[in-house]
Amino acid sequence: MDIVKAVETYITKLVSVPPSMKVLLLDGHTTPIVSLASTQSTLLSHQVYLTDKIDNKKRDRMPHMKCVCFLQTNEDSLEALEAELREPKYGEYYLYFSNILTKTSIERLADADEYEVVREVQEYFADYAPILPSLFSLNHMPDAAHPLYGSSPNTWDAKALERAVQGVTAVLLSLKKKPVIRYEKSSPMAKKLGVEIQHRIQSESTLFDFRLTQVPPLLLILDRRNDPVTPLLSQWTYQAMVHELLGIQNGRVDLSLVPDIRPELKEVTLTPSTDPFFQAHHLATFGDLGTSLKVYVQSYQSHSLAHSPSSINSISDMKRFVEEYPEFRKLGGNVSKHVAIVGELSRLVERDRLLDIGEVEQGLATGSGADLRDVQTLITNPAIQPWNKLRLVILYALRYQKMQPHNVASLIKLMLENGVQREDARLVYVFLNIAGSDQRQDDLFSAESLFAKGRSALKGLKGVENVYMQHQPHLAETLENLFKGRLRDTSHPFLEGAGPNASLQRPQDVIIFMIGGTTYAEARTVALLNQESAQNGASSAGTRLLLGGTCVHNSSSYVEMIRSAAANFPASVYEPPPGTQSTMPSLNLNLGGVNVSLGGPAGTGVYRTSGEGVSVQADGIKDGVKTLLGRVKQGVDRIASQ
Amino acid sequence: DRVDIADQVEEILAGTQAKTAALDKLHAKHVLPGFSDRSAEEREIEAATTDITKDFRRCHALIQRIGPEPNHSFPPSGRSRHEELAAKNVQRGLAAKVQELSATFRKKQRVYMEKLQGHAIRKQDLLIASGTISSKGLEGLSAVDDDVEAAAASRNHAALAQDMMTTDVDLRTRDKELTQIAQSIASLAELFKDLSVMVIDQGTLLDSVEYNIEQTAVQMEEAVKELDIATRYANLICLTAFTC
Repeated sequence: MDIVKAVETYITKLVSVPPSMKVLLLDGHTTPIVSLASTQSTLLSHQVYLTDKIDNKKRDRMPHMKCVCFLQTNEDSLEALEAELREPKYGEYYLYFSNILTKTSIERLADADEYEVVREVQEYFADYAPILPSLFSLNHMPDAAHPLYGSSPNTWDAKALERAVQGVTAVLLSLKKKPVIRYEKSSPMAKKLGVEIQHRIQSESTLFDFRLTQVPPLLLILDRRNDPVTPLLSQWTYQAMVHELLGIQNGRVDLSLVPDIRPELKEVTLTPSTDPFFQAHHLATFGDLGTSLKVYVQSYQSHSLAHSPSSINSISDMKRFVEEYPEFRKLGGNVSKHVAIVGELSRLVERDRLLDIGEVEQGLATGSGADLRDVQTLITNPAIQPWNKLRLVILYALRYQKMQPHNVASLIKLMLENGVQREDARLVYVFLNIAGSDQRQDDLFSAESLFAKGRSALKGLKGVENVYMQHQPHLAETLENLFKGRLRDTSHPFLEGAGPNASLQRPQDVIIFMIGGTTYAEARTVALLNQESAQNGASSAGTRLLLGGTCVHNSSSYVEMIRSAAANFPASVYEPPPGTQSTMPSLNLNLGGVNVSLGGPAGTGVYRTSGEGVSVQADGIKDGVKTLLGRVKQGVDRIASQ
Repeated sequence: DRVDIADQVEEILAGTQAKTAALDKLHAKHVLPGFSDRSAEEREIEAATTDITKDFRRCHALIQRIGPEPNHSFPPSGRSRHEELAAKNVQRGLAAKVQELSATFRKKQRVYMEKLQGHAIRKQDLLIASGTISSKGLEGLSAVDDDVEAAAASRNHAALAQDMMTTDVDLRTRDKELTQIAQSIASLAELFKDLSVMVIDQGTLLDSVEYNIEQTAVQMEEAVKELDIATRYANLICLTAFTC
């Protein structure tokens, strides 16, 4: 179930033949897939001496080279390939496709192959981006040109649906799984996808002719709409934080906007498979990360000290070797990379008051709740960016939509007075209409999510209750129910044909697919549960999980997805949700200035249960993180000045 | 031509692997206790070691010839940008291969040296020497250091022994042998370092497939621009020098 290994195996296969100098041609879709599972050095070791896009028309003729193509079966790539075969630039062609190739496509290619240069045609189902061993993405970040939804939040865009069917089918084929399918009952999109995938499995029965296991694997299709909270929260673990604050695109991070960044660090790669430090710490909380980074810097320091001239004078004729070793540069480079990233994260956390915001967010997202006044204080604080104010109010609205509609109304008004644009403010209603409590099938804020918190694997800091890590993605609860055989047919029905006893069997392999995008927070949950289930005695023992999504969101990409989707929905999506029109102000942009009396007294904070203890603890953790980072930075500065 | 050079390098490396296997057998035989005159055996080992080390050096020299021509050479060479890029990548790929094979061989020398000295051998070294694992990245680097230091220590020790004018012929022979191995290790370490200039560091942006594809596109655009400029200059030269 290691998805990175699966794709790596495909790529090794496709670049191994023929054993001579070759060119690798990719398309826009396969480039990130290859890039995430392989490296330039690996390609070079297989004599791939040029890598280029199939649609690059400026490629030179090189008849002495052979050509390996790895392409998606889309129209653009097929057309570009036909053109290539009609005027071949290379000696021989080995064609690989990331999904099922239709008969028509094969015939088209055969027609185009006038010079008979094609030696091989095969399907290698690496049709998804392998981000972590247990996380894949279909890299479909929706925008106006590539929407996810159709004309309502219950329907798919036709292309997006086909893409999702292909992506998930490819995952199943590359892992050799023929699953039973369950879906979130409240989501028509989840059911539709499930039906389409099952249909594909049946129509390609020869491809899916795998050895049967006693309990069939499970494909669990979920909808982001049932948990809009997780992607809206500030993140406090390394990989999730980097994606939230800087963005990780296909394993690359843009640091060019970081103040005083060194030129060689303007852009860096950040994938566990090529970075041992990141491999070890990508799931670590910010506090633990600081400690580990310090140790890492110190080890670099001791390394350089061990080879300072004084300590190795006995081998004077060889000491020049210890200077400028590639590995030294590399170790140094990796240290400075992580110090730069963590330094920037802590700068942004401080600049945007994210620790203050995070504490309130955690209250809003969990059973403990949050005081209206705390939210008001943050919204009126000019140091806090409008974007974060919007995020807070959306969270507040999702949480207290039913219980305190007046407070939601007053917060909307307050944020409009404090720098948030109307156009953004009405996203609060969009969220309530698309993913509000009437749209969700499960209770996100009930106390029952507390039991997921009790799991050792999901605890943030060992023994210490970390105020920023209280929230667990709703997925944790769903999986917990699944492990315990308590995931009900009524909430997560099977597609027809699963057999009468399907719900009584506990599947060993579970593939979870999140329509509307998953998050690194959920990936972390899955990774930790996988670690736990590798041990005996756990309720999840022996279960292997794989998580995927149409994309991997951070809060801004999630809000942007909802914003662009809403443009295609009925205009009522911008109105206060049904039943609250009398309470919440209309924010219709065409009506000009709105003058609504916003009734309701300020909240009294009855839901705040944690009291003062929390903030004291939070301060302690805050200080710990800050001083730690300060120390790490000093250490690095010292090294640099030596 | 570059393809020929690359083939030559691959050929030499194939030969080196066979020679290394043969040397392994000699080493194994030589560390066994025996009473007969073994100078012939020692000469054979020495010759094979020198031969293999030379092979790696030859590869290095050949690889250096593959590299791209200096930028902005005028008049522009016949090679296209794509060919230049391919040349550079051939160089990188072969350099990495030679580096890895030479590192394995260096480890074998180290293990043999320790055996001769009766030192304990680390499991990690044995695994690398046998080719079971390859030392990459950080391990590869500290391995170089480590071997260099061990070789230096052994050399110093041998030199010291010779200073003391040991009369024991066996001991003197052994010290001579150790000195030679130490020299071979030092030479291989130097080679490793020389090659590292050409090898892509793992985990860097340069090692990203996507980044390389983007760079290819950028370079093509630049090539077109430069070609325009070059053509203009060429015309200018024609006009001023009346050479055309």
